[in-house]
Amino acid sequence: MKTLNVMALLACTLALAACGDSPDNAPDVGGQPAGNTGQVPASATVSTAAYVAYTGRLTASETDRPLGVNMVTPPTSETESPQAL
Amino acid sequence: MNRHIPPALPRLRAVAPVAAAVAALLTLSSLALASSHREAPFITTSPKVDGTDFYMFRSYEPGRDGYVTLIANYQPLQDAYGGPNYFAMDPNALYEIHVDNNGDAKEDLTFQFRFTNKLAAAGNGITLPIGGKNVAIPLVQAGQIVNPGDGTINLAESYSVTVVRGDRRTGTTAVVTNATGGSATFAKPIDNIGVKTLPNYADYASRHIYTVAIPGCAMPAKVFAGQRQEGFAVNLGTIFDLVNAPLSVITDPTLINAAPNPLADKNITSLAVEVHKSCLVASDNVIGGWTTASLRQARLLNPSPPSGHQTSEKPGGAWVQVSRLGMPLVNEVVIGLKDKDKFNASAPMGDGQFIDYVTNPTLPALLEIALAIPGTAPTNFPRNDLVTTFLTGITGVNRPASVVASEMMRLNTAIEPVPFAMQNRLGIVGNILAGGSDNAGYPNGRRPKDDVVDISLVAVMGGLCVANGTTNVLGFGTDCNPSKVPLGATAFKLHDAVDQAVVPFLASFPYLNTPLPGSR
Repeated sequence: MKTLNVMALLACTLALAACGDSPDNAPDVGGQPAGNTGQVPASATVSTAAYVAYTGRLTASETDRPLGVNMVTPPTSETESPQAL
Repeated sequence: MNRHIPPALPRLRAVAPVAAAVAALLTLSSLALASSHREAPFITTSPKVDGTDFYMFRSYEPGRDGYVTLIANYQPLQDAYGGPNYFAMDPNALYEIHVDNNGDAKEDLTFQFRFTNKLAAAGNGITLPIGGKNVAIPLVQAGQIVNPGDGTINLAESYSVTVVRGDRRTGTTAVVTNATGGSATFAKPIDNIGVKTLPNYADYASRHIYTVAIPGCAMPAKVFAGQRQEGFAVNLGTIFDLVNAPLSVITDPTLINAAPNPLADKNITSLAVEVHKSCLVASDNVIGGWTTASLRQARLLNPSPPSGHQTSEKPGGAWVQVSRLGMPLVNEVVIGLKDKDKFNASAPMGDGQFIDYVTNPTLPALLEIALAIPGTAPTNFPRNDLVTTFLTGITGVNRPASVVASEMMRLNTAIEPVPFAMQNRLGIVGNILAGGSDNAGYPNGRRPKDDVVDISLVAVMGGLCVANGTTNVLGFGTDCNPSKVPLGATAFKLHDAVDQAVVPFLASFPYLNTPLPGSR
């Protein structure tokens, strides 16, 4: 399970690097973020687009535990337009 | 009291420039029945960013007639006793007042308010020694508060104001500073907890009115952000309960104040600026104004929030507009339920998407149903009179020389202000009908005293077309005539039985009254 999480994070990071953070082309930060006791990956906070994309991928769950976010510093922007959803 | 049918119609013809205003005012007002409190589905989930009323008028405080006051109200229906947290503004939101000064439906000047909430003792809060341990208290105050910055304040709210020229996100920004000392941070008074905590709230709050310097403006301005008594008056519950009042009452001009104002015991939070008109206008004396509030696009909720204040969320991303308010009540009773969230996220330049709500308004038909008066709605469709007036301003009064049709409040800053006691509660139309000289009221901007609800009721049921007569005296088109108004002159008698003109206000900036205390 731990290996899978690391692989997922790696995949997310690679995907981010490939896609960039253009507002018109939100980066792919992977699929459903880690559930039970999971943490928000660093890749999700590299840009506002990444953060929006990441939170957008959080699907509703009746069973997962919430993600730990105490170490998260969300990216913000005063000049960018919102991401289209 | 200016609610009698115009013997005065001939006089309207004689006052041509403002005559158009009468009709226009009626038209504009017809778009509303109540204010903009909790008007859209999403905004009911985020009251801290719920814009409720927007005022824009030439200052009528003696000696300040060169200034324009702009007030954006947020957080509706505050009960003064709402402790222990009361009604702090959202530090994760962006509150803005926009001004379009060239009629192109885009903001040219924006005042941005950003709030910060800090617990005392470097974020730990005030503590008391209890059995050998210092323990944080659960309240926002630890004793009586007399002065700004008193040590008994456990949660201190402050804010900054940024002025943006050009696009609100990508324009040129400059920080507004205190004219005394140059600070860019302003204290917001704690809410009116009650007379024991705050024995002289009026004095305490008045010391949070700042004279400020706005870069690029020659004249100093004033700014205030804080709780006020709700200034809007409307028979709210009755209106939304299918106008649960006898028709005989709401068409009797002697009963305009027959019912208590349900909002009279509520507070509101105001963001107010008073800016010299020379700082607001460009080549045209007419300016358009509106307020918006925005939240960060993404938010993660923290299942383990750390100690501190409002630590349960991690907002990020760009700003997303979730509240919009220019002319009163538009989103409340004009825009269809399915499009209310869309309207709150929209910008004036895109208002063409809402045009059907103006050309074919549902409100008159709803009043037919509510009042059981079938066949009484005006029949001049499409309501091009409303479209013209609502989206462009009134020719000769508050229409810019060049204008892109869009919804916002428009004020002709060249029209002189009128002292409060002489203001006509029905704005321009009431003034015309009374043969007065007050052209400084709604819809030429909006003053606290202007009774937009009563004007709206008159207009929505056809008062505009009655006034236009059979010869199109007001220029709203020949289709807008008394034959299209089944109610006829009775339309002029409509009111909600709550009088805006008796609401208490201050005589000077920020005009809205001292908030009601949580205990007396």
